[in-house]
Amino acid sequence: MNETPDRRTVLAGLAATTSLGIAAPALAKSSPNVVIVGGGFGGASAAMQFRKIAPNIKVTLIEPSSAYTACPFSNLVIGGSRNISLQTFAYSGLKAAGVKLIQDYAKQIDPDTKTVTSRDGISLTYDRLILSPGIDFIWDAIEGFDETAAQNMPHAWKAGLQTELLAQQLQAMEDGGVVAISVPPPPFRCPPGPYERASLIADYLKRHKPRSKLVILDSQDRFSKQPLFEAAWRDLYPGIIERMPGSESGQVIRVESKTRKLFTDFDELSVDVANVIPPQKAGKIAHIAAVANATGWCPVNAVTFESTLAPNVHVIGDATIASPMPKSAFSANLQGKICAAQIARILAGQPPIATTLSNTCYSYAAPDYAFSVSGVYHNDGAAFQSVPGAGGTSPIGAEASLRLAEARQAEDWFKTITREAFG
Amino acid sequence: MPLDASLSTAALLSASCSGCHLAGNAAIPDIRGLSPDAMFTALSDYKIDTDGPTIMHRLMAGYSDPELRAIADYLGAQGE
Repeated sequence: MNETPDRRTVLAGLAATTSLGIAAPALAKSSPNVVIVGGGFGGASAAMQFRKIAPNIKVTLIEPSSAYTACPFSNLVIGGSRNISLQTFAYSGLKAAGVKLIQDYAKQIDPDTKTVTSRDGISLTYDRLILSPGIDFIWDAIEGFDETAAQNMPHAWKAGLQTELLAQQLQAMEDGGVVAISVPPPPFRCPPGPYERASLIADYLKRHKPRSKLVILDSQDRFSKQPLFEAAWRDLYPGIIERMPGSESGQVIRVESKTRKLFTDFDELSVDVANVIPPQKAGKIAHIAAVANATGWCPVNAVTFESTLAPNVHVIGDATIASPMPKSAFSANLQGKICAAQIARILAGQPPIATTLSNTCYSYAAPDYAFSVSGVYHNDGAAFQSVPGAGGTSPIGAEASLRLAEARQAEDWFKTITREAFG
Repeated sequence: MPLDASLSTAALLSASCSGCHLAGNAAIPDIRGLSPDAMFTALSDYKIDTDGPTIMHRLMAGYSDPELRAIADYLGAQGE
């Protein structure tokens, strides 16, 4: 504890004279502790935001990796038009900003003593805890698909080695080969992501292996930005992409990874490259901390992002149930910033305040052809609500100049959001 | 304890903006240095033009005029 006796005396005196039901000033410690688990877009953005808006709060980030590999733009790496090194962000910027970094796994959380224990046995106490664990895969959902199988049929849904593996398999494939993408049932990280990936793989095939085909085996019937993607596929990749929607038994229920065979209810398909994106749930620590419910995801108070299942524990990013806010990097970044501000208010003895949030997601149909979806949300009810009449996608049937402009805007967005999260 | 402006209603509303707008960018405009009034006018123009093709048209449609005023005053004051 860093509080001086003088300050404690003052606070005790204030508390004694508070009789109007105002938030007790005794809560307002001079330098409270916030611990953040997970250094992706949510956790890193929250950590940075605390340093900007509440320098009195001590911020510790627990993250096992030495650097973060970003998922947004990783489909360009798979399509061969971007180097993976541009996806990687060290945590030195957070350290320079005054965030204490602990490179370790969070192993245990005790809400009674407000303590996080790491795998190496480091124990950290918190006034407020933020979990930003991202996603985990439900490995037993597709028969035959486990971590070993993912070496032969990469998911590439957490960026890094898996991204490079899928890119390498595409490069090694002969012209005339068949590529399959298996899309899980929602909710999953990055709703338009599988279709952006299909587009950029088709772009690669068209340029380098024009006799090849791409099959999307989809658990979904409808999907994000569907009219925009389908128009782009007709214009850019005629005859290359075929999609089996869920209602036509598109969902993959079993795989044989060694032979790269995929099974649906009615069909089996042998392919040359298989990208199997498995069903998902909140990251592991959310389940250890018991902040995930039966859906596998984490219910939160929409204003503060505090778990509805555990006091003083906040959850942000892909792991949350925040629909209609999507599981996107923009959402995670904004939720990190908002959550930090609300915690700073609470720790200063002020009530949290409802606000208006937004989201923007760009998708590439080709490296010089992008479109976007955006949304605006209120959080003054029990959950997030889309603001009627706002948001939506880029116009359908727009000229190439608008698609090019949004491709360039997407690059600026990536530069901005990674700078804001990682310094 | 007096609250810093960075924890205000206006700051929370403005938190979305910095996800895209960064000094030195070109395709997404750099919004530093705009006065509060100039920024309010720019944001309102997006809101009024309901058929506009950009992300800002679609986003501003979801904000009330007092919200746009608060954002413009908060970010505009930072740019001065």
